[in-house]
Amino acid sequence: MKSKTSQVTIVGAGPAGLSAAIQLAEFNIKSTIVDENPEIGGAIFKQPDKGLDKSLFRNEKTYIRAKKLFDEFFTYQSYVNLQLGSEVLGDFSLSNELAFLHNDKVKTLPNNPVIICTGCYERAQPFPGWTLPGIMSVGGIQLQTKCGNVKPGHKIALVGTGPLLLVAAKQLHQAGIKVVGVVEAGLKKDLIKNMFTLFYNTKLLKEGFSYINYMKNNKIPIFYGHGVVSARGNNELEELVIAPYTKEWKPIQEKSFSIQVDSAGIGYGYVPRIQLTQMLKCEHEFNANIGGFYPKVDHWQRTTIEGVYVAGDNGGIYGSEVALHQGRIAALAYLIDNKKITVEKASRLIKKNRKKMNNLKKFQSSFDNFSGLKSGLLTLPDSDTIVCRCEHVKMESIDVAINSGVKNMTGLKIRTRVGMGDCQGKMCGSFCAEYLSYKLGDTREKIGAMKPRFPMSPIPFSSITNKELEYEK
Amino acid sequence: MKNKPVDIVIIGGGVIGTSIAYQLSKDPSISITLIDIKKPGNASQASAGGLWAIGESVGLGCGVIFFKTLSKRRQENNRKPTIERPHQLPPFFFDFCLRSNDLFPDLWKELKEIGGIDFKLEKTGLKFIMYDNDDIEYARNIYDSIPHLKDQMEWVDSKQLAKEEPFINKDAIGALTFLKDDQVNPYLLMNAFRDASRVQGVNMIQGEVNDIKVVNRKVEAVSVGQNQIPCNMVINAAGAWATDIGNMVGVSLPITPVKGQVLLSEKMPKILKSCISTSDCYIAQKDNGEILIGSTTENKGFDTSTSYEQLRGLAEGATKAIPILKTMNCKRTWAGLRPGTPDEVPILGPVKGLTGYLNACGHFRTGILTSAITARMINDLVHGTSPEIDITPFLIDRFRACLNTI
Repeated sequence: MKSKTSQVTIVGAGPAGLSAAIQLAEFNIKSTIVDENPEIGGAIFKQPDKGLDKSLFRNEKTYIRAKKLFDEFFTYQSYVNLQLGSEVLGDFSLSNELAFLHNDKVKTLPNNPVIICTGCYERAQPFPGWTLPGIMSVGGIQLQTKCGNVKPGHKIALVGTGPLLLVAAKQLHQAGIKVVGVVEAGLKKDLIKNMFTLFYNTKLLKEGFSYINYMKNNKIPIFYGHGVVSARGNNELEELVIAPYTKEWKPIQEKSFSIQVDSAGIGYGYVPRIQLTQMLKCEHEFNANIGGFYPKVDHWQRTTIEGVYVAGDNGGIYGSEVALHQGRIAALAYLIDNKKITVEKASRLIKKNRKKMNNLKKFQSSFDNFSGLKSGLLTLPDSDTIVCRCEHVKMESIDVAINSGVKNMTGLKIRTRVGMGDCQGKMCGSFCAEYLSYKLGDTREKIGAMKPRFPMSPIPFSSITNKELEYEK
Repeated sequence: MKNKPVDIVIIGGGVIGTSIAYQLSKDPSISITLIDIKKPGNASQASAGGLWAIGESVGLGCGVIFFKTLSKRRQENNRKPTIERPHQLPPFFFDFCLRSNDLFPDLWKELKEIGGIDFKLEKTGLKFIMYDNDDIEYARNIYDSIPHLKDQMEWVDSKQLAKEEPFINKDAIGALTFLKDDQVNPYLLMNAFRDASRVQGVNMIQGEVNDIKVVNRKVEAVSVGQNQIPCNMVINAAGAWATDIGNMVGVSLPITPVKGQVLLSEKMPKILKSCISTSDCYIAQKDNGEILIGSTTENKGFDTSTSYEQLRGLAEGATKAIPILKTMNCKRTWAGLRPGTPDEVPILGPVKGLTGYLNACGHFRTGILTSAITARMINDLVHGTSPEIDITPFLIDRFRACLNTI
């Protein structure tokens, strides 16, 4: 297919992006999908790299869902120009181009109409010793094992909150790694209390229990109401200090104990990947329960900028099932806006999806009662803990900056260099903003967020002098 | 809400506003409030931090690109080029820049002592790299036009250049070095001014100025959000936004935002001893190893987006000058808004017929460099003594059209 004929740009080939492309194709609309990964699927349906063992991936419950989506997508493949291995770098608003890097060259696509499905990333949680080799994000560890066929260590603990801890624990155990324990900050009584709304249907209820039973049958302890205090080791992780958490998730130091591990997966929440909608000047709102700032949308996933739609976790963390529905809704919004379908017809078509989606959102909000992040996490770092890993900014400098009058993220950046490194604050941005808000008692809207700049990830200078136009204007 | 009266309100928390706050706060009898108006494109935050006193005065640094832009525009308009030689600023501006540059070593000591911040004053010099005869001609013109500053310049041949700067393109045929054109870290300079000011009792607030109360041609108060701050004097250091502040007191300032785009490399080992200017771009390796490449000169209003063609032009210029950059990463780009004036000279000092108001704006591309001398001149004016440099050519009076509107 000639790329020129594509009418819509879709960023991200995860559940939201793929379902948007399918919905458009059903109405004979051709699209271009850009995604940084070598294969479709995004993070949740990420496939093993070419030539690697796929058995762990196929054993997963998500595989059934992934396969269903992929099969449907491939029947419409002729409608989609798939640009894999293409990392989106940002927006050139004056020329209406979206820039991405492919084979070390900067290329561009029209930046409008665009459906943005960039998903989320894991929120980094600083604590003393968290930069020791052996400590990884729980999602990162899971992908290493599932998709990279790499054993992250021999003795591992999974620490944080949320269902991914259990999913990862099972996969790691199946891969032959000793899982010392799962440390969940939420309380067991809250889990039980919310059980019925949590697993709003029998399918998910069964799935949840199967993980808990797996831990029981394989003697993997789950420490509810506990969390990380610090990590110790000589140049690499040797032991993890764990303690019961208070209601506000502050560790009760006198009851702390240590577990001997050589690796740990840490997972305290997710952050919507909003850099692109920020660059496109969409308005954003804040809701801590769905990960922080997210682009403001209407009933049809339209942002405040005409022709810019969002779907999936970048619009608030609701998970892959909601993403699938939102992808369709965003695509329908494009179809409505371009007079390919009437609002009435689109509404009828999507009615069932909306119902399911709203149920899922309810599920998510009840889950927050159990797993929503609490302020005690902000007290974990000591003065010597590095918060911004790119620029080696320590907690101490952040406190000094606050004492000298810093009131918002821009001020903190200028003052301490947090967020001025390679990752532009994707790692530390969330923690820093939460901390500022906590210390100053100001809203997150007032504290603000890191502003993304082109290129969103570092690129060689040679790639800038090397641009190829993907589209002829 | 009415606040306690203060003597002076400084509007603008960039390098000019904070420098003035620092200088004025040396006198403990003056009460000062600084209003930091946060706007995207703040030039102090976007700056390269060059102290290129001669370089900028003779049209290197940002100036060389400005010159190219002007020449190109003239050619496009089919007009006879009126600038055939480097775009040089008048002698009083040279003096202004050179004197300011000389203030930095002492300023560095003072600010470090008072506020504890080291703004990384680095003795780098600035090298104009020459690739061909046109470049030599350009450099020769500069050299011949400032005979009184010969001791601050040095011709470097290709062999010497390769020795001094081994990472510069081997095709370069030589360079003209400006020995005293050094650099600072602009963020740290601003932070240093800010901290020292705070230590000396300056009250800093953040907010949007929405009105200035003028009664009988005398400034009486500044409104920030819901707050009104009664004061005896307002100093307009609002950078690219100075025109808005001027309008509030009935002074029409010919200041417009001039966009400059910049690229920044990842942190690298020290590969440059000097700051570099070519006829394509300037290049400065900062104290933390990042290499900063600038800068365009564009009239795009208050737009602060980056654009591909402009970034590519700069990247091409930089990779030509320093070939090893090709394999290095660019980690960030941005655009800042210089406060441009028609004659590229700042607008300083009082306005006839208006009491309690001073301009300290329009610093275009030399705000970091001239922040030091600007603050001293404003300090003199506040204390009623005559400034060490004649204020006349900096007054708004030089623009007749603006005066008529008052």
